[in-house]
Parts: sequence; C-alpha cells; structure tokens
Amino acid sequence: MGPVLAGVLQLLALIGALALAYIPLGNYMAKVYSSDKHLRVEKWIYKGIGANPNTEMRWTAYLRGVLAFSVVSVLFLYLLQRLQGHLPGSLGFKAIDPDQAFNTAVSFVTNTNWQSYYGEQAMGHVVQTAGLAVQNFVSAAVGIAVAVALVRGFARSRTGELGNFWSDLVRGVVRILLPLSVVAAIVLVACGAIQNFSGIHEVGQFMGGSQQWNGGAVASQEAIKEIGTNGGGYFNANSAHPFENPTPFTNLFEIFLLLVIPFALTRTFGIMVGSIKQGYAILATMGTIWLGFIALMMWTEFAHHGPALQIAGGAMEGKETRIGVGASSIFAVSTTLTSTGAVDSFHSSYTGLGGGITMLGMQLGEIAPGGTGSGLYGMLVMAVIAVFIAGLMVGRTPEYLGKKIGTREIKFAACYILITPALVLILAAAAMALPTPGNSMTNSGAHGFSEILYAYTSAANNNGSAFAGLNADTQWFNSTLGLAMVLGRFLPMVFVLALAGSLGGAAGRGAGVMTTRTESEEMSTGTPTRAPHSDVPTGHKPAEGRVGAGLFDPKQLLKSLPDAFRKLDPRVLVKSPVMFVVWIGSVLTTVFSFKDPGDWFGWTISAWLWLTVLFANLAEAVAEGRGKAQADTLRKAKTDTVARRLVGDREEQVPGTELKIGDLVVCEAGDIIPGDGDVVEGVASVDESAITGESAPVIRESGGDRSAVTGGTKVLSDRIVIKITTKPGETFIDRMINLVEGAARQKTPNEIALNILLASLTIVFLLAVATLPPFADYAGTHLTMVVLVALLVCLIPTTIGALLSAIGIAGMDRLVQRNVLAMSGRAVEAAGDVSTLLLDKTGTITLGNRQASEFVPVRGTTEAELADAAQLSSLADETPEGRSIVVLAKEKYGLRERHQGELAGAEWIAFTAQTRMSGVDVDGRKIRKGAAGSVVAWVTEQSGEVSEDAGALTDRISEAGGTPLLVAVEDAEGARVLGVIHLKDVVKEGMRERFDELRRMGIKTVMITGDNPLTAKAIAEEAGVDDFLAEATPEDKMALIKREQAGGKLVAMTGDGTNDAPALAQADVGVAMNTGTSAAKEAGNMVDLDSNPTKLIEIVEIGKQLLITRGALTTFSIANDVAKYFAIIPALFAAVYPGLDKLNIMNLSSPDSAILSAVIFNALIIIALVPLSLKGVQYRPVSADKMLRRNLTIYGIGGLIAPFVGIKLIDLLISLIPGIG
Amino acid sequence: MNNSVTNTVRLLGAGLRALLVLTLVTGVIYPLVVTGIAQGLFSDQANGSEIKADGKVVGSSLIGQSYNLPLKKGQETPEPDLKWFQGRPQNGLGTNSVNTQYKLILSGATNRSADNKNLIDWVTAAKAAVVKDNSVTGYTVKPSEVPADAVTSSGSGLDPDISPQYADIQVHRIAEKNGLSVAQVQKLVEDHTESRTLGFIGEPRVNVLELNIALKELLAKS
Repeated sequence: MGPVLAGVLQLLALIGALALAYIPLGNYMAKVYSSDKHLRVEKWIYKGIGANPNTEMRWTAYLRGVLAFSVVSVLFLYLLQRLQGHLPGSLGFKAIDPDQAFNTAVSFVTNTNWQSYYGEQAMGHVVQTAGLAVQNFVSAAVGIAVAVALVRGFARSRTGELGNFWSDLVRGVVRILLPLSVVAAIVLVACGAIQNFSGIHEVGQFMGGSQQWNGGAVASQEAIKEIGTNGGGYFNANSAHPFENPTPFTNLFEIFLLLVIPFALTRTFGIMVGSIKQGYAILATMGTIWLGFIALMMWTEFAHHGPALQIAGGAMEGKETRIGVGASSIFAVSTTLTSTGAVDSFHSSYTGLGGGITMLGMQLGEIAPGGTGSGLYGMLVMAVIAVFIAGLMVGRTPEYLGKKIGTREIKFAACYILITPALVLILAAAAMALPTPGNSMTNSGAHGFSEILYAYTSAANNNGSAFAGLNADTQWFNSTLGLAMVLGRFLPMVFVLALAGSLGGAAGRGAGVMTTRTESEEMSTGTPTRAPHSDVPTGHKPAEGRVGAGLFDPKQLLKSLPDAFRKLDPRVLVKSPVMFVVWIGSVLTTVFSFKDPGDWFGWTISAWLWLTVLFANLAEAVAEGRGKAQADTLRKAKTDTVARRLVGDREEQVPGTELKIGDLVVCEAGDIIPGDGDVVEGVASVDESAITGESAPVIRESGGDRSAVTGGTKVLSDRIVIKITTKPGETFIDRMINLVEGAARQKTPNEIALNILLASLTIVFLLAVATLPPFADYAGTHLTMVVLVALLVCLIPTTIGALLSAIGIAGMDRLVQRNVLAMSGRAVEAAGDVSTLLLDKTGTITLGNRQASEFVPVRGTTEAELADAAQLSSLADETPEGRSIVVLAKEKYGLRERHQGELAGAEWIAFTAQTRMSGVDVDGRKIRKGAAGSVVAWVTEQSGEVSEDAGALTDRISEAGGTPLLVAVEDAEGARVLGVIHLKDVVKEGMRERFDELRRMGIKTVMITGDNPLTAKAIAEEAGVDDFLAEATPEDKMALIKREQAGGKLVAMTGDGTNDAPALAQADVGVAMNTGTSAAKEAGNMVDLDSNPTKLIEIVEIGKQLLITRGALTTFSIANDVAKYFAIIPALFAAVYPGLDKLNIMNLSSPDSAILSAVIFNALIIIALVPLSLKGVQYRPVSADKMLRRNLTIYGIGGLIAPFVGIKLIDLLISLIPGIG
Repeated sequence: MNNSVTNTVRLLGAGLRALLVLTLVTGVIYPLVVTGIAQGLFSDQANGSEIKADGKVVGSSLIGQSYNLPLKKGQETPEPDLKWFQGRPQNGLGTNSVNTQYKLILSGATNRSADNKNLIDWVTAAKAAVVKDNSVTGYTVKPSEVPADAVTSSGSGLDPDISPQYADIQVHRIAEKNGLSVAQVQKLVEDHTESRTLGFIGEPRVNVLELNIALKELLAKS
C-alpha cells in the first residue's frame, strides 16, 4: 500500500469514527444544555461559587459572567507563573518573565494556547496541571457556553434570556469535557503517553552517558488539549513529541478528539433549534471546507514542491516517521480549521502552498468545524450574513431559523467579522514597519514575512499554532500577540452574545418550523407568470399630464447630469459610505497628480475615479428624476385655493393654507377642495383625476365609507360640507409629492442593513490596502498612493454601493406607477415578505355580486316553468342578482327577455326590507321571489301549499355556499312554491391558480367575509384559499392579525372602512383604498389610488423584486472582486516575486494598464447596470431553490466572469494607445 | 457608581470562586485520578516506556537518540558511529538555556521553509553523507535510493524511528562494520520493522534504539 492510499484510508477511518460519535455526542450535549436537573457534584460546585444556576441571564449579564471569569483566570494564571519559583512541585523552575507570563496566561484563557515558552524547560508540574490544563478545560467550556447562548437566542422567542453562564460553564466541564478526557487520557497512556508526577527523569543512553526528560501529567493534559481544541503542548514539540503522541494510532485518535466536539455541536444546535436538518446544513458546510482543504493539503505535501523538499525527495522536514505525510496533512488542516493549534508536524517546513492552506484555514475564522463552541458561533455568524444576501436574492426579508436578520443583527455580525482581519492586518503591518520585530524571523524573504503574518493570524483567531521559526519570546511579540489573543477572543464574544440577545428578544416562529430555505427543503417562491397587473381589471387610464415612468431612456442620463454633479458635495455623499471612500480616494489621487503633473497614469486614474463617483450620482439622479416629473404634475393640482370656512352659520373666505384641523368648509360645484377631510353633510361627485389619474368622477357622501375627500380635487356637482382632518402642508397631496420626489425617502431596514455590511467590507479592504505599504516595502517594492487608491476602489463593493439608493428609489417608483403610494419604505419591504394575506371576499376573490347559476324546481314543476316565473318576476329588478336571473333564463332556457312595456297592466312589486320579496302581478298571476322564510310565509298566507322538498332544496343550496331564492306563484291553481333559484358567489377567473402560486411562494391566504361559515367554507374551497374567517367583525380581523404576527408572520391586508382602521394599523402591510375613509388611509401604510383590492398581490411582487435586485447586485459586486485580484496583484508584485506573474491569467499588457483597466471597468459597470437597477431584476415563477440557483448563476458566476472579459477588452483598447502599455 | 463597583467586585468574586473550584476538579482531582489509573494499569508506558539492554536502562523506546562517536579534540560536531544504525538528523533540537541545573532535551523542529538556504544545505549535505557512509565495497547507494526521512529533521527532533528504506540502505554498512553477514542484519531489520497499524494507520517504521539493542545482542552472541 502506498502512503497516499494509506493517507486516504486514514481519512476515511477518521470520518467513520466522527460519524459514529456525531449523533450520540450531539444529542448528549443538547441534553446537557437543556436539562433542568443538576448533578450532586454540580450542586456542590454552585455552592462553592455562590451562584444560583437557575437564574436566567440576559446577554449583558451572560457577557459579564464570561468576562469576570476570564479576567480572574488571566490574573490567576499570571500569578501562578510569576510565583512558580515559590510553589511546590515546580522542579526548580523559576518565575516566568512578566511579558511571557502575560502572554501565556492570555493565551490559555483565550483558548489560543500559543506557546512563547519551551514547555519542558519553563513549566513545572503545578503550573502545567493546576494552571494551564485547567484553562484547557474552562476556556473550552466558555466557548461552548457562548455558542449555546447564541443557539438559545435562535431557539427562543420574545425573551432576551440566554441561560445561566455559571451553569453552562460547569456543565460543560463536568458533563462533557471531564468524562471524555478521562477516557481519552487512559487510551493515550495505554499507547505510551506518559502520566506521572516524578519530575525530571534521568536515564542511561545506548552510547553511554545519560539523558534527562521531563515527567509530568502529559496524557491527562494531552486529552483535554485536543478535546477542548486548545493545543498548548506539554513539550515544545507539541503533538510531534513521542510522549504526547506516541503512535500512529494516537495520532489519528488525537485528530478525532480535536474534531469531535466542534462537529457534534452542529447536531446539538440542530436539536436545540428544533430542526436537525439545520444542523446538517451547517455540518455539510463545515465538512465540505474541511475535506477540500485536506485534499489540497495532501496533494501539495505529497507533491513536495520547494527546493529543499525536492532534494530530500519528500516533504518529511518537520514530520515524524511514524505519522508520515498523509496523516500529518490531515492533522495540520484539522488543527488550523479548528482553533486547536496543536501540531504533529511543523507547518513552517510545509510546502509553500501547504503553509498557505494552514494560514487560510485560520483566516477563514476557524469555522470548519472551528473551536469548541467558537466554531459553531463563528459559522452561525457567517450563516447570518450568507442568509442575508441569499434571502435578498430570492426576494425575502432575510430570515434565519424564523428570526429576521435586520439591521441590528447585521451590525453585530459585521462587527464580528471585522475584528480578526483588523487585528491581523494592523498588528502585522506594525511589526513589519518597525525595525526590531523582523529580527525574530528565522527564515528570510517571503517566508520570514509569513512567520509574522502567521503569528498574528494564529493569535487573533485563537489558534496557537505557529510558523515556529519566529522567536516570539520578545517583549514586542509577547505583548502584541497577547493583545491580539484577548481582543480576538472577547470582542467577537461580545458581538455574538449581543446578537444572541437581539435574536432571542425577537419573535420567532418557534422551534420546529423552519422558514428559510437554508436547508434544501422544497419550498417554492413561485410567482404569477403573468406580468404584474396585466390581468387586473383596473380600468385605470393615465390621465393627461401624468408621467408614467416607463422604461429606462438613455436621454435621462444626460438630463440628470447636472444633478449628478450637484451630488458630488461630500455632505451628500457621506450618507453612502462606499461612495464616500471613493470620493476621498479621488481627491487624494488628484492632489497627488498635481504634485506630479507629468504623471499621465495618476491623472487618468484620478479622472476615472471621479467618473466612478459621478456615475453613482447619476444612477441616483436618474431614479429621482423619474419621480420629479410626477411631482410637478401633482404640484399643478395644488394651486392656492380659497376656502369657504363655516363659522356658525356664516361663511368666510380664508386661504386654504390657514385651515386648521376641525374647521368646516363648504364646497360647491366647480370648487377645488381646499384640504383633506371628511364629508359631514351632503353628497357630491368629485373629480379626483389629479391624484388617481382616473378621469371618471367619484361620489363622495357623508357617513359611510366614502366620505373622505382629498385636497386638490374638484367638486363637479352639488354641495358638501367638509370637516378638515389634516394640517396644511401635511395633506395627502403634499406627502405624495414628497414621496415621488424621493425627498421623504427614508432608507428601508434592509437597505440600512446592507449598507452596514458594505461599510464593514469597505473597512476590511481599507485596512488591507492601508497595511499593504509596509509589506510591499519588505518585499522590496514601493507602492504609490495612486496605485493604492486604485486598488482600494477596485476592491470595495462600489457597484452595489453606487446603485443601492437608485434601486430603492426605483422600487418606490414602480409602486407609484401602479398607482400605489407607500407611506414608508419599510412597508414596501415588508410587502415582499408577507406570509399571510387577508383578502376581502367581495371584490377581491369574488366578483362583487352573486349570480343566478341554476333553477331548481320542486317536484311537480318543470324547470322551464320555474325559469319563466323567475324571469317574469325579475324583469323590473335592476339589482345585479335580478339581471343575472333574466340572463340565465335567456341563456339556458332560451326565454326571450321580455320588456317591461310588453306586459300591459303588470304591477311591479319592489323589494323592501320588510317584505324581503319582489315580484309582479300580471294577467291574474302573482309571482313572488325572495328569501325562503318570507316566500313560505306569503304562500301560507295565500292559503297555498308549500311543497315538501322546498325546504330540502334551500338547505342544499345554502350548504353549497349559495343563496337560495324561493319562487312562488298564485294563480288559478292557487298559491304554490315553484322552486328555488340558486344564487352563487362567482369566484373571479384565475384566482385559484393565483392562490396556488401564492401558496408556493410560502404565502397563506385568508379570506375575510361576513357570510356564514357554511357559505364561507364553500367559497373558500372553490377559490382555493388556505383559510377563511366567516362572519368577520373588525375585532375578529384584529385578533387574526395579532395571532399570525405572534407566530412571527408578516400580515398584509386591504381595507377601506373606518372600522378597518385598527386592523390596517396592526397589519405589517395595510393597503387602504383611496375611496375609503380618511381614518383608513391614515391607519394603513399604503394607499391604492385605484382602490383595487387585488393589487395587494402585485404589491407583494414589487416588494420581492426590490429585495431581489439588491441581493443580486450585491452578489455581482462582491463576485467582481475575484477578477480584480488577478488583474492587480500580479501588477503590484510580479516585479519582486516573478512567480506571481502566473496569476496574470488575463495576460494584461502592463502593470499600469492592468490597474487602469480594472478601474475603468469598475466605473463603467455602474453605468451598465443602471437600467437593471431601475427596472429591477427579472422575476420568475420558480421555486426558491431554483431562483437562488438562477440568480447565483447569473449574478454570482456572471459577476465572476464579466470583469475578466471586461478588463481584458479594456486592456486591449488601452494597449493600442501609443505610449501606454 | 458605588453600586456598580460592588456588583463588579461581587461578580469577580464569583469568578474567582468558580475558578478555584474548577481548578480543584480539573487541575487536581482529574490529573490525580488519571495518574492513579495510569500507574496502576500501564505503569511502564506512564513512566516513559523505558528500555533496557544488559539489565541497564538505555533510554526510552519513544525517544530517539544519537549514535555518535565521542567528540574528538577541536571537533564541534561529533561524527556518527557507523557501527550502529543511525536515526534521522536532529537539527531542530535545542539546548536547555533556562533552567541550567538540568541537561534537558529540548524537543523541536528546524522550522526552515522549503526554500530556506540552511535547509537546502543541510539536506544536500545529509544526502551526500548518507550516500558516502552507506556505500561499502560491493554496494553503492544511489542518491535516488535515499529516503526523505534520512536527510530531514523530524518535528520533535526526537523521532525514534526511521523508514524501512533507510534501515535497508544501512544494512550493508552495519554488516561490514560489525563483521556480520548481510543476511543476518537484513533479518534483524525485518524483525524490527513495524508495519502500519491495522494495515493503514501511520507509516511503516523501524525503531532505531530497539534495532541497535538487538544488534548489540546479536554481536554479543556471535
């Protein structure tokens, strides 16, 4: 068997062992942290601590516990080392120097276990077992505790309580780490690891003389060092030392130990949040990264690139014979992808790529599977960010485990991911910039720099492994690495716990119900295939003067140019952090170009940077420009009106602007209504085309749901008295102007969250670029300011940063085009995310009116006879029901519609509320139709007979959800019932399909109706809605909304009446009909000017499209970076490291043209994407999985490829210009 | 303010008590229990797997040793005693500098990178030496036959093992220097070659100390 195959088999064995342990250990840990019972030994410990383990802590209290315990731990461990000389069992070892003692204390408390000391010549029994090994236990338990607190944040709903820190700490030690360690330690001893307290051993040697080695409690420390992902070795050589890792088996066993808890915690997580699938999703991510890294590592180590290894014939430098290359590779990857840092071989002597892989593993944040606890919480933070962007891409307000990922969550997550890169970059740059730290390097050149970069990477990520050639036992390294360890451990914990508190405080959908598609459950986000509003009979025709925004017109760019220039004002730009950074960069390069006026490169870069900012402004200006035209039309309607105010009985003329709330004004035909209000007296027809664009006049009358009038509209007939309800300047038309102009536009919550994320990315790249000069100087190349700024601008997410605000404005604009006014951006986003739609039956689901669908005769009567009588009785009935009877009789029975005039002497009996019947007396026949009870009573009164089956027929129709109308006649044969007309609610065409689609989008539809439950049920079934609320009162509606919201769902509804107002206010999206009362319009957060209740569905689609556009362009923008690395990094460094020229896969003609091409591409792509951001990303009826895959393909992979092509093309063009390239 | 100071002090007190109690559990009871079990069940392993030759302890089977001739005057690096099997280079070992009352072995690696000049020199020199030392009359070692472990230092510097290939190319030299037949020595190596655990874990290896003790015994017998 070759070593490669043996390596692969060991990997498979390891995976097998981890798989076997996964379920039992994961389940067990979930039980440990969920159980209410305390073990007896734990009770003693709590008594010793003096803490009540049952007190629930909020995140701040939990954090205080973590910090207090850790501070005490650092002090204790520091003192223990400083007092070593005086402690028994110290074997004559002296006190550790202050800086080293500080470094070591911090190192072990933070689970880093960086060793700046030689274990065997510095630490005696007491410091090792009672100091270092103790921290191996408790630092691991603290890590798990914080992870569990975060998990509880996900699992719990509407509580900020995250558990009890002391209890979590003690349980982690007593129930998980201790038992595992005892077993593992004994296995290790059995294989040869030492375990004694007999001090220094002196034994003879084969060649004579003697050798001395340290005895000690090695096995017991080795066990917890791996299980707790600590990594601090008893000996300097760590797990390469035969006493720590005596056999090939112990080696594999130790890898198993350091992986088993981090992996199994994903199961614990799955159980605690109520979805094991979610645990598997995290596990799969971790496992994939881990396996990929191992495959790469094995490949490079077996290939043993590098001169010394090539001469040697294998990558055995720093590796043990018994372990070999394969198993060493697995160990190296596992130790750097967890926060262990134990080593069975020395990474510094790995191949270049192999060493890079170990560093990359740590720089990923040690999340695959990561440290005990820290891996899980690190991965969950990543998941929060990933879900945020992915959620946007499928058009949902991002949600993870039923928790909304909002501004606060993104803020904490963004801070979390900022910390370690900031620490590594700043401290490494400082070390490289200062004269002395470089003296600690063992290797020179690039690898020397890697030693320092590795050290800070390892410290800030709490790993503890090293490119150990670096002599880190200097004051500089002891203190700065100590600082990195402290901040790298506890700042992330602060943000994790803050995140946990924020999540726990939010409503969740409760355990068990998964809402995001983080697991690949088949959940669809299908959407109607037809374009929004194509099938909606709005009857809306744009009136003259109203500007439909329409498609993007390149001329708009030119028109908006002056505005774009105006927006170069830094006070305006500062609101967009990404573009502000570009602006500063532009200023800087311009200044530098002035200092060196002959430098064409500086000038060109400056020009393109200015263009980048200008293009971003242009995008925003174009988006706003579309609204401006609409605002102008609205302003025309808002001419200064004179109001006729009623004071007592007297009328006085006052300017419309002086009206106060509560004033009564009179308007007559021809008057412009001076302000928003309710009609309190009279009826009038009003022309509202100024606002709605609808030219047909509408009726406004006092009382009821049609009493609201809007300032700026015109009374066409009659006289009304209006009670003013709005202050001048705050009227509907004022707000509308502000809205469409974008002046009142507030950033939506998702937009703010995205801005925070983009800002944090910008900061990371800012740090990366700012710290580059010292690294470049060490490498022997000098980077100019112009190049640095260019690099920065290319790396920060300028594309999405430039277009973000335009996307938001355009989203609002799309609503305005549909004649919907959103009073807040929040409502638009919420619309994209509603999971429950409350729809009024009448007008939304059914055509407004019931229609006759069949004639059912009683026994002894023919259908034709019944039809004839029914038609006769309905001829004068102008209600829609009556018309439908006539039509049905004509269509189904060929009965010609008789005109009223044909029937001479007919006496028409009109419907009254008292009789509840209508009919006709003609030719000696009396025909009546009406409610069953009334007709039966009439027949009985005429001493006629009521057929026996009449009752059964009416019941059957009622049960089917229809309305029965009894038809009776009195003629020569006496009074009798002829039969029943089946009046039916007619469900609008296509509604069922639409509801099916909504269901696949994950949206539940609830039909609201005043009908009785039977009728409601029948219609609900026919229409295909998920649920119905029958005999609904406003209170019922309110209760329903609250119930849905308590389950964490967003609810949308439409309404128009005053009694709808409370529910409209309560709903997350409340669309008020413009015809409704002003109370309803005030309460809702959107107003539909067309007053079309079906539009709610379109509003949902627009909301989704807004989110999708943002997510897609963010992905595109971030994916763009890859190509820029390939363009710029070789351009910067290929001169000093010719090997890097291999990265120049685009074969760009010169460094200058490479950088310039990247900058130009970066600017042009903004302009290229303006139409898309205004129009919105195309939006199709597919499942969420498919939509994500599709958008990832187009905007992710497209975002990867496009810049390669674009930059290459630009480079080709530039190289044609003489003197360049 | 006063209140928050009191609270902080109280919290730190709880932290200290927690640390002390947990130190008792994990720093005193745990290692003592494990030591008790270890000493009771696996006392040989727990005390360093010491190995004897002629009734005398000659080291630990887990700790690699050097098999050098005594330093001659003016010599800084000792020459290998070619009578005995040689282990891997130990360029990473350190010398005790902190606690000089002991002469402790300090484990460690060279930490030289693949492109490091020192490492290239060391490996090149080691390869030449292995070829030279092991080429005896009638048997020439080709550079391509020298395995990587023969010319590189291990991670601990205390690697007790060499690869079977490295043992094999030393066979002729050992036979010649000790007046044994090649077959005798070859058998010795084969007897002391440990294959992979369960056939796939780790790498095949030969424990140099055990091999040399066996060699010594063989010499004593003959």
